[in-house]
Amino acid sequence: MASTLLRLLVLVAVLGQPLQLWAAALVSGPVVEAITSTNAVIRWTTDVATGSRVYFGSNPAQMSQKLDGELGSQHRVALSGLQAGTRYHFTAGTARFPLATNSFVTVGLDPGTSTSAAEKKAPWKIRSEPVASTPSARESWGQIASLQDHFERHGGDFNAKSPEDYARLAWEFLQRAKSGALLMKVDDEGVLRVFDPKSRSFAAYSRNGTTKTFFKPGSADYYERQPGRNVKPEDLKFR
Amino acid sequence: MNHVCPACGFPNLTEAPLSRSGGGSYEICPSCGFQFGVSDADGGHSFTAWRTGWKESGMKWTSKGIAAPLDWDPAKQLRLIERRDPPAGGQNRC
Repeated sequence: MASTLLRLLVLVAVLGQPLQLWAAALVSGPVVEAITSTNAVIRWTTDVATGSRVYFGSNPAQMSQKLDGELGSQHRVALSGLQAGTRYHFTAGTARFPLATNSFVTVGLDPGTSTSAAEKKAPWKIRSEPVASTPSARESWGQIASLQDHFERHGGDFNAKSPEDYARLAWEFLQRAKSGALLMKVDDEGVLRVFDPKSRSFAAYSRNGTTKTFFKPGSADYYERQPGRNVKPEDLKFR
Repeated sequence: MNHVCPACGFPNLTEAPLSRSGGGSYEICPSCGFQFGVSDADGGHSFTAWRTGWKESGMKWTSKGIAAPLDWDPAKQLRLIERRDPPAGGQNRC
């Protein structure tokens, strides 16, 4: 009787965590935003609800600091107490599985204030580091008047909560493509088409980098049938 | 330059439905809702079949974000596109 009860308890414990048993796929991100000299926010999206965990540190071989966020498919973990002008390496993922590793540099101290050791050592590295921040939908979506219709039709593919959220996810998808993680092709008009075989997400961007559409095709060979030649991040005209 | 929707005849699309490379514009026609390069290439709908469905559902303005022009006349645009592309043709030309 006791062993049956024990088996039942184990079964309940296993079935009680279904979201963690299936490997989650990254839909977009991770993107680092709101970077200051001491803080940064890491955001990413998964195809199913999972826990949120970030390991980070200034040494890529020792990302020993850990922060957990909330359960969901839209993940947000805020880092604080960071050192100015320092490169931090991080791994974002679920509570059990890492999904992506990247790095960012905190903002250096303002000129005129005391200079950090890192800045004294290599000031050009700190000043020239681009800070990734999410643009507004007005900036990232090509035909802003059409955004509502694209959201109504395709926003559900990504659990987008609003047109602005949907535009942000499309922009984050482009950031992942720029890092070389996704398939890309460009046609003669400069239209960039991006595909993630894992999540089966597809997006098209105009030659200026603004989004034309973002959705999950139903047909298996949709991306293969799209025009264009395969490209790598370094081939892209826009940044 | 404005472009005509090959499905419903709406004359004010912002892009050509099909590019020279052969890809769709991904624009959603605010009049009938056809998305070029998606409704056809992924959904398998032909322009004429979509047009028939739109007519049968009352030729309503579909866009939620773009307002219909004050002088929008769905019957008129439909007459023009059907003259150019009669209903008998079932296949898209792209």
